This record gives sequence, structure tokens and C-alpha cells, in this order.
Amino acid sequence: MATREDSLFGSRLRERILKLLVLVEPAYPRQIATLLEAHLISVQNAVMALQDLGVVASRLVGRTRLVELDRRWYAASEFRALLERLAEGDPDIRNIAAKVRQRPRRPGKKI
Amino acid sequence: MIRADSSLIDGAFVVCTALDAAGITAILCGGSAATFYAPEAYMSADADFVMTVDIPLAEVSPILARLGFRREGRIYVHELATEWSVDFPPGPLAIGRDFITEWRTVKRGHELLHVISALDAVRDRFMHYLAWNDYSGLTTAVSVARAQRDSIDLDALRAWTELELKETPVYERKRVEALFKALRKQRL
Repeated sequence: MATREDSLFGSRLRERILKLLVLVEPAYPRQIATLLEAHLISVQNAVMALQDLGVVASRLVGRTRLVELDRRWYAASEFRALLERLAEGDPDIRNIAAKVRQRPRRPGKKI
Repeated sequence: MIRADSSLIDGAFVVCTALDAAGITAILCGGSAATFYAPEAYMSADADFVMTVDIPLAEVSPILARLGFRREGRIYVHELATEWSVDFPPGPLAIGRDFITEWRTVKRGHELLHVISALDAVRDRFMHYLAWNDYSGLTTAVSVARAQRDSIDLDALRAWTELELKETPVYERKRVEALFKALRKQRL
């Protein structure tokens, strides 16, 4: 019987990372770990495994490694649609993603 | 046989021949295919092979071990030739949304190498620029096209880029135009 820790994507953490990425990308591993309240090393290992499968890509921007869904993957658009649907059904991930402010804040603007 | 001074392409011939003898078809792709077609313009550090059938690396390892490779994670490093390694990215062989079902088989003495076509090598490198704005992908794509100008079907390239733009709306048309502008500069 499947348990709560089982997942279509091999592990619950991988699934949460993928659903987060479809809502918030690019993201960096420490940010993902903080948002998902997971250990950084676990996130790094999960990202590496997803990268080996070709579904996730990472690139260095300055000194930061950014992670995103790999658009070059042959099933990228279908996979993205699946993840968007799965994220729709996961209010926890949607709440986490909503907290992420992607736009830079104007200097001096009141919080 | 692989020696300390064997190039990545020399090694690719040896590996591909050994796998072929074992009934495994592995096709050289990625940056190493660009190195094959334009060695003076681009030097890859990995010989990337995609297998036509998804065979566990545990079955590949003994074949490569006989050639002097040891596995380190998902890559294979050689005991003598340390400038490059061998990698087996997961299949299927595809460039963007396009599955690759045809490739070249190049013979060199008793050795052979399955390798994606020059046009596919151009498309593969260009994908790095199209998807990530990686400028080196654009320059490598143009270098391969220049080195293999007789093999590049610009109409096919244009048709493929149009399909990618249509299927992936976040891709920017200006990057496609940058490619064709660079190719025109090379009188292609």
C-alpha cells in the first residue's frame, strides 16, 4: 500500500520541489530548502537526481546556482502542465509560493 | 586502446565500438558532437552518449572497465586519459521536442562512431541559447554550421525553430533571428 511518503516522482521531496519550481522559478537550493523546511543537503541531492533525469536544469548566475525546469527536455511543456495541475491541488505549495516575492523591492519603500 | 594523449573523439570511437560489439547502440551527442564537427572551435570535457535502449549502467560498466574506465557517480573516468570523461545522459535522444531517430555512423579503421548529424549538433547547441540565453551555445552552433556548411539545411533549421517557438511560448524570437543573422554573416 502507498504511504504518504510515496510519490509519483520517487519521493515526496522531489514532488514538492517540482511543484514549487513550476510556481516559483528559478529558485536556488537554499531558498527551496527554506521554503519547504527541508535539509539543504536533501534538496541538493533531490535536485541533482532530477537534473540527471533531464527534467531540471541548473545554471550559475554570478555566484548563485539557479534551478529551474529544463525547457529543453522533450516533454517539458507536457510536464509543466502536469505539475501546474498537481500544484493546483496542493494548497500548501501554493501558499508557500505565494510568499515568495520575486520582484525587487524599491529602496526605501514601506513594508 | 585509449592512451594518456587520446583525445575525447579518439576515446569516443573506442567506447562506441566496444558498446556496439556488445550489441549496445550509443550515439554521441551534446557538446561532444559539436567537438566532433568543429574541434578547433569547441572542446567538450564529456563524451555524452545516449543509448537507443535504456540499459542500466551496471551492464555498461564491465564493458567500459575493460577499456580502463572506472565509474564515478554517473560518469566514467579513464585511468590514463584524464582530460575528458564519458557520460550517459538519459534518453530518448531528442533535441527540444524533436526525437532523433537517424544519426551518422562514421567508420575509422576497425572503429566506428554513432554521432548525431551536423544539423542536429547545431540545433542542440543553439537550444542552450534559446532556452537560457547562453551565448556560448549560439557561438558554438554557428561554429559547427560554418565547419559543416555543406551539411546544414537552413530550411530545416528554420522550420524547427518555428516549431519550438510555437510549442514553447516563452522562447524569444529575437534569439532565433540572432542565429540566422550570425549564419548569414558566415555566408550560410
